[in-house]
Amino acid sequence: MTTAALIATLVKIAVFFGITISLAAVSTLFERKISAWIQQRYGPNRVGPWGVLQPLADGLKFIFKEEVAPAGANRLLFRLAPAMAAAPAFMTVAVVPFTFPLILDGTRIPMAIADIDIGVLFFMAMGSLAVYGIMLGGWASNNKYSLLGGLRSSAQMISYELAMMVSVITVLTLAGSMNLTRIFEAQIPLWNIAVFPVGTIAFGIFLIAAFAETNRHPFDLAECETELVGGFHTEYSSMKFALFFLGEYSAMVMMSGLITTFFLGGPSLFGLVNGIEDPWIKVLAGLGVFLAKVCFFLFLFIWVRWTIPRFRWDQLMHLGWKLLLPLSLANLLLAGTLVATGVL
Amino acid sequence: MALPVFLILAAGAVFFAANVVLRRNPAECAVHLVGSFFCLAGIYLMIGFPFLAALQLLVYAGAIMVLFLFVIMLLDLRREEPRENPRISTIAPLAMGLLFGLLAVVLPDMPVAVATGRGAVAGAGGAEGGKELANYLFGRHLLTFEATSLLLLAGIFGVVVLAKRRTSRKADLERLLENIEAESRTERKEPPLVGAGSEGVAS
Amino acid sequence: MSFDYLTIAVALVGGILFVYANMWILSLVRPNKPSDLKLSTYECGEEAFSSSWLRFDMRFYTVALIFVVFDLEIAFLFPWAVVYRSLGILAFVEGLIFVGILFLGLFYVWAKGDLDWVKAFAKGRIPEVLDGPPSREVRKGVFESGLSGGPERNGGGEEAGTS
Repeated sequence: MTTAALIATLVKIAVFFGITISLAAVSTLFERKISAWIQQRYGPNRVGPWGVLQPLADGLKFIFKEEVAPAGANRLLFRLAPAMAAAPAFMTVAVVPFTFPLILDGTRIPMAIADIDIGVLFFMAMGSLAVYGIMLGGWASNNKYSLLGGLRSSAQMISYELAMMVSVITVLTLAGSMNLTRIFEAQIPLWNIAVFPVGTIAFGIFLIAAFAETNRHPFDLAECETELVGGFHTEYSSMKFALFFLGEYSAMVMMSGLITTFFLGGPSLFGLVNGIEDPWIKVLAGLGVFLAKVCFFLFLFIWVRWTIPRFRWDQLMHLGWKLLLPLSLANLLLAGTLVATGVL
Repeated sequence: MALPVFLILAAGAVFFAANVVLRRNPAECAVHLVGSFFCLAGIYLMIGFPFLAALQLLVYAGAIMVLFLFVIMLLDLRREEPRENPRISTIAPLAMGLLFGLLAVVLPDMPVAVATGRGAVAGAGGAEGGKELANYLFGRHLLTFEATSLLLLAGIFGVVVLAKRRTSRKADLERLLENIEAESRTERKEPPLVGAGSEGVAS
Repeated sequence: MSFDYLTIAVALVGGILFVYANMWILSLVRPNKPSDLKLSTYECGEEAFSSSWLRFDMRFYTVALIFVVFDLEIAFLFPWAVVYRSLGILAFVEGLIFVGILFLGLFYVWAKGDLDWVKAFAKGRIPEVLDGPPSREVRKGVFESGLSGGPERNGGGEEAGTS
């Protein structure tokens, strides 16, 4: 292990975590601004010009608010749950390639913090752990609303996880590798979303499942303000609530990044960026393209939230188990057939 | 480099595993078991089985423990008073010790085999993310692989049968009606049930 | 290779320490004046009563059970997908059989009605979906409590929710 590699890793950690957290913070502002725009309101406009300092003000408020834990709560799990809700999203940052590998003097530095060969499995494992934060948070509060929200949400997350896994496997049959850098490199000639019909269907399923996994509208039955108050985080306040909040938005950023990597060719843009000679410019341009795609999906997450009404619980389970799961399995078989017959 | 990391992971695994036994609250036990799985996954990584490590997290921590937690939440914790059974609490450790002793005699070089990777699937985690394991699984152990799917199918049948017995509609409704009846007779301090779905059909 | 995993492990441990250190340090600057009312469970202004750690609907458990089985099956498909192109037609046939059996399981659960969330009230009124009529005494109790109208779906749900 050379010092150079160590420095490269540290720089990557600082930059990529920084990008993720700032995107999460900015998207909380944009959530309000876009919702205001959609509903013809002003939205936050008091803190700084155009309300840009609102996330900062929110953060300070989180810090200086009193922290209250209900008397009947389970102390250990009540404290553990917010961290378990936020950790999986941040852990996923480690495997997402933010841009093209940097090639300097013949050495290839992959632009993911940890460029591991089982990146896809790592992401799925982290995704499957995300359920704990919500489940334990709901249970440990010893509040009926929290329990209902936590239960619903955990059942929802495990239901949609299956469809998500199968659509990812479809991508794997196309790419033939579980390394996320290789997956986007295989798409430089043709993005997976354009591989009709299998890639397109897999993209649709993954997108829907991503909404469900991050508990976003129209699948936000975990919170469901009208019937469950705040759902699983009803009893949380101050920094613990902030962690749930941060976890949700970071998960959105990470899901956007993964959709981009799996289906939209990551940092590639119709061969334009890939053709750049200078290694540094190529890396920066790739980062720009990647972030632009991520921002598009973040906008989509927010747009959908303020446009589409919430599902009813039985409709949600129906969609997950009876439509998405069989459809994704059939799609996988179709992809297998097309690859085996040499069409793809 | 490797030894201290291993020691930390092993100590963590033992610590969490001990907590699973020692904690009173079953939900806390379950969470500690997840911690133990994490440490085990770390050990798998160290001996060069990243694929196994990821599956350990995905299947055990991500699926089976979620089921466990559901079951724990399904229990009525207030009614399940912790019982002290002196006979079991003396016999169980002895039996476990005996079992581990037996394992150590029967499989003396197993830990070495695992550590050096000359076990059944040598280098399963190898360079290319489970490719060797896959070749092994879908080449030599083809039939076993397909038989696994049948086993899992049997598992699904089992689930349906289990669910059937517990949620017999008649029993469900009778219990529901009984509760309503009890409610109407006496003003009770505590509700007998909390309906969890939006439809709220409590079982 | 292993350096990458070590990075992840360090990031995990560092992240957890950072979060809890922050929470602890920041707890020194924020006010802390607990009172009985603040510490009581929030129930929309009603006086909080009883613990919420009660038994809940069996079907959550069924969903989790089915999920575990499917999760295991799908986990097998990850290595399959990776070597798919190199194994050729053999992998295709294997995958076909495996996914076919997966489908069989799914349709079995489907046909048995374990995927229907509103199973018990799927056909409308309570008496019609009973395997047999409830015992006489129970019925009598229900009629006395004013539920005799044969509640529709939502009616039944509300009763259960508020009972």
